[in-house]
Amino acid sequence: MTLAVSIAIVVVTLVLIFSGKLDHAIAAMAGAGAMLIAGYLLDFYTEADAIALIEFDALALLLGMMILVSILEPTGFFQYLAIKAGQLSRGDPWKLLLLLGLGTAVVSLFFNNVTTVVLIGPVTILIAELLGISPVPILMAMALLADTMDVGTSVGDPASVLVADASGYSFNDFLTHAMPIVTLAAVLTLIMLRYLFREELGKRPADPEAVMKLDADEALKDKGTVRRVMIILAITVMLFILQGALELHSGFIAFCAAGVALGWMRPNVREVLGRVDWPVLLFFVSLFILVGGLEHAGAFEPIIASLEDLGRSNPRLMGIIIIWVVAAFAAVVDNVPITIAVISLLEGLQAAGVDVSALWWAVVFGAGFGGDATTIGTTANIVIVSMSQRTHTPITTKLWAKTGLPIALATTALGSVLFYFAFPYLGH
Amino acid sequence: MDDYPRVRDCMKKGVVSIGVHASLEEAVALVVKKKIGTLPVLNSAGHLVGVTTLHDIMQNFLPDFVDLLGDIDFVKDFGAVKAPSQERLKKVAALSVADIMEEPVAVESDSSLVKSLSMLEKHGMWDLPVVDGGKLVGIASRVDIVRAFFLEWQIPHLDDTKE
Repeated sequence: MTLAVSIAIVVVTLVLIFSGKLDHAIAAMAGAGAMLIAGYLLDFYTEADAIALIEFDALALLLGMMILVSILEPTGFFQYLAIKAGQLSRGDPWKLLLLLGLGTAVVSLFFNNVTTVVLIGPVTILIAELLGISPVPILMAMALLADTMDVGTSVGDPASVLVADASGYSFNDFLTHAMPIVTLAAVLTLIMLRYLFREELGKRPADPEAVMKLDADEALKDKGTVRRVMIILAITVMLFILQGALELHSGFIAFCAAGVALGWMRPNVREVLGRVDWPVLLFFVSLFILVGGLEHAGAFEPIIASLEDLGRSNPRLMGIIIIWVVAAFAAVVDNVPITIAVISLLEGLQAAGVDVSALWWAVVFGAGFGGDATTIGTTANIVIVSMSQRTHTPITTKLWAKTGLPIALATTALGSVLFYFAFPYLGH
Repeated sequence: MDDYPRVRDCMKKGVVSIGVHASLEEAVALVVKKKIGTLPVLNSAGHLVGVTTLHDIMQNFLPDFVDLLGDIDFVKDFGAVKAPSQERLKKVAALSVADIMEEPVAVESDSSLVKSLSMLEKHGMWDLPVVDGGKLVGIASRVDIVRAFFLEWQIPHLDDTKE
């Protein structure tokens, strides 16, 4: 009974999220509420259980980084970077794609992709329109590269934040284990973009000089704030790198960094906090509670028991299955619910004595590569598609199926192959 | 307090307006010919049903992506988009006044100057239609209203300039 009820609550919530009829955060919050009520009435899940399952370290990390980016947002720093990238390309469409795509990806290694894309996307469209070229390949490169690469650090993507938290892998472990494979996937993405958009990227811009006339310095409104945030960010990244030696959690570092930044710059706190993505944080908390209810109802035990043998006898195959299941889920709903669920399963297997050390990376790769498959796979994709409706070449679902989908399939396949061969290295 | 200044005393009476079924092209022609920035939109009974401003009309000629940018001070040259595209012009030609007009904001002709100026400020408008029972009877610009204010103050220096 408890099992059936808890599964029903999760399925209904996921269907609501998938259908797009209800906002992600509202659907998850309603589901979490239903799970708590069911847990109370059927006596399988208490408030204390739920609170114990919320990963506050992950929340503190996300909140801290969101506050830092929120302070940076009105300074025009991201617009400045985009304009500089545009000028460095001298109007060549392929170079523009490389610079803006990789630039967005690098920024998203530390910051939320959605914020990055929201800030850089409009300038990308502007540059493409001024040049008289199609913004579509560049916009898609930004979303695809950011989503593919941001799992390369333990702070870049919500999924990698959660995996880092559960597995105990440090920032440096991500750089040495996830980043090389993620980088190869990004290279493959670039090669495929070059081929799939060969027509658009081969076109000569109508007015290559227009981009050189943009005034990057004028876009940069507040140099003082940019300088201070960069100093804090540099120290934060240094602490991330040293976190193993210092025994500090990422959440602690990011939260303190945000505190220092607020104290140093004393911005209008209502405005800064107003730009924090609270729905995402609420979505997270709700999912922790929701998946926790499933766990307390006993939904995971039979799955863990059935996976135990496979985990011992053929962990490579199991890892590849995880990559594809997580990727498929990430493509149609979102990578967070499945990541939280698979983490619970892996923790269960670990408790049963199975070596899951390499399998954590399978979650990371699936979460990073699967979202590229559809226009709704990640929030960054949704944002890019909606922005492109305001250009002369809107991105259609059909176009995405011909470009994003093959790229997602290819990178997920590449991830599986690399996972297979690097398995002994990934597991130590 | 019956002798307070009212908007009907400073409004312009011969208002240029347009019918709700007119095309955008007709609206543009009227704006060009009469050199005005605000066109009240009337139904067949002469009632005010909307307002079209230069802003509403020009929004349809500017490229959509400009809306996405918070600031365009740094754009010195619009490069390949110096003129509206043919597509856009075609799209605009197909529009009617009813498609682009905004909900009417108006005051009754016996409204005070303070009320009238406050309405302009709150709604970010430059010209305020004046009605009597829904029927358009005049239009008062910011200049008309503010000028009436100043004249009302009876500043000594103004005597020299009074018409």
